[in-house]
Amino acid sequence: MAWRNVVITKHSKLSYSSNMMVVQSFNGIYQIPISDINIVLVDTTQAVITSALISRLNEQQVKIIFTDDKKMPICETVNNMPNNRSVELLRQQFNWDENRKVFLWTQIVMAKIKNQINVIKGLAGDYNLLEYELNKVEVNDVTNREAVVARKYFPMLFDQIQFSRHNPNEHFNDALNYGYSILLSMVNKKIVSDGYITYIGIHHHSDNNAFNLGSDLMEPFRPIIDAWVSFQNFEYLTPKLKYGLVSLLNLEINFNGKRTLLMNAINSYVHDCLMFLTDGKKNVKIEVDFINEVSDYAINGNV
Amino acid sequence: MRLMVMFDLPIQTSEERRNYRKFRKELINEGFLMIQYSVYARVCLNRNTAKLLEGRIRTFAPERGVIQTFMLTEKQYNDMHFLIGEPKDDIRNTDKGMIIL
Repeated sequence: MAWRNVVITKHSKLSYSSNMMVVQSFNGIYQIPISDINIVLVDTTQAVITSALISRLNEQQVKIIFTDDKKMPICETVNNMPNNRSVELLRQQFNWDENRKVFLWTQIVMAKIKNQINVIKGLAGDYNLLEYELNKVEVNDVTNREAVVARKYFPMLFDQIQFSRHNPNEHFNDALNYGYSILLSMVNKKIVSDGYITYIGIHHHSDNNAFNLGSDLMEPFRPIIDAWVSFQNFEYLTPKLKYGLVSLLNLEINFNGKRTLLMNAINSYVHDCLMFLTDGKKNVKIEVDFINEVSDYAINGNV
Repeated sequence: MRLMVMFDLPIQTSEERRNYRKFRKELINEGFLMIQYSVYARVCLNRNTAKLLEGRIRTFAPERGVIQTFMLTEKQYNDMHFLIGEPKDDIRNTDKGMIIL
């Protein structure tokens, strides 16, 4: 039911009262019902937040994301006590069937590459090379086509032969990282609120990554961030771009043949994946189509 | 989608006044915004959530008095005419999915 993303940018105090988040700043007092809130992004180090609010937000599975003094996302809250977590569920997660994991990862890689192809198509680029690689994807992506495609895809997307995701001086990378971390938070939120833990992934298995499962499941949606960033004209990461990246969660897309908002698509997709991994009954379908590139407050049509 | 609630509750005895105060407080706890005395509204994601919310109001409504609700689409609500006065400038009175403060 949550559909609002709140970004705090100014010197302010965040507190709790009457099921609402109260934001006090120089401009006045704002109240937002907690049940409406999806994500709170504290995009400043000059905000004070009360423990009562933090606990109430987490009760309602709201993600709080904090940023560092360079205003890059630095941490997010992870709910330890979702209402529906049980030992049985965790036991199942630790023992997820290998075949199902392999099957799902193959699906995810294919979906991601397909979406990357869609993005390049949208730019009227030459996507034949990518399609060639897509046809070579093997079970569990043992030949790592995912990386091969990425190496061809990013230079095409940003029209630079030398483009590297590892170049810290590349301003596109800042924007992508920002967008990905918002996306990852959204996926993590759903995983936790369904009662699972984010550590145990199906492909990612880094000891240092607390969000292995989130990193796995978010893959098909990355190209949406890529596409949006590639349409922007910028020299460095401005606040306007960041807010644009957050409001991408309200972008309308075609997901499995239905018109829906990105955040709702993520929720139903993550849910299906988890159900599939647990009992194999639910079929996972990942078909994403972009309706247009304009990230508007697309929710207007839905409320 | 908006759910509007209008009410007239008796306030003769102290018990009735307490019931009235409790009811009003519960409405605010549910996220309603007072747009006039005894007229409250709340944004809902869709008709289903509006219906759900209506059901919840029924659970804490006092026994006597008049409480009326109706559901409006966003368009209908925003087409409201203000013969005198201005719309409330409050976050709870918007359907914006992204709020920057």
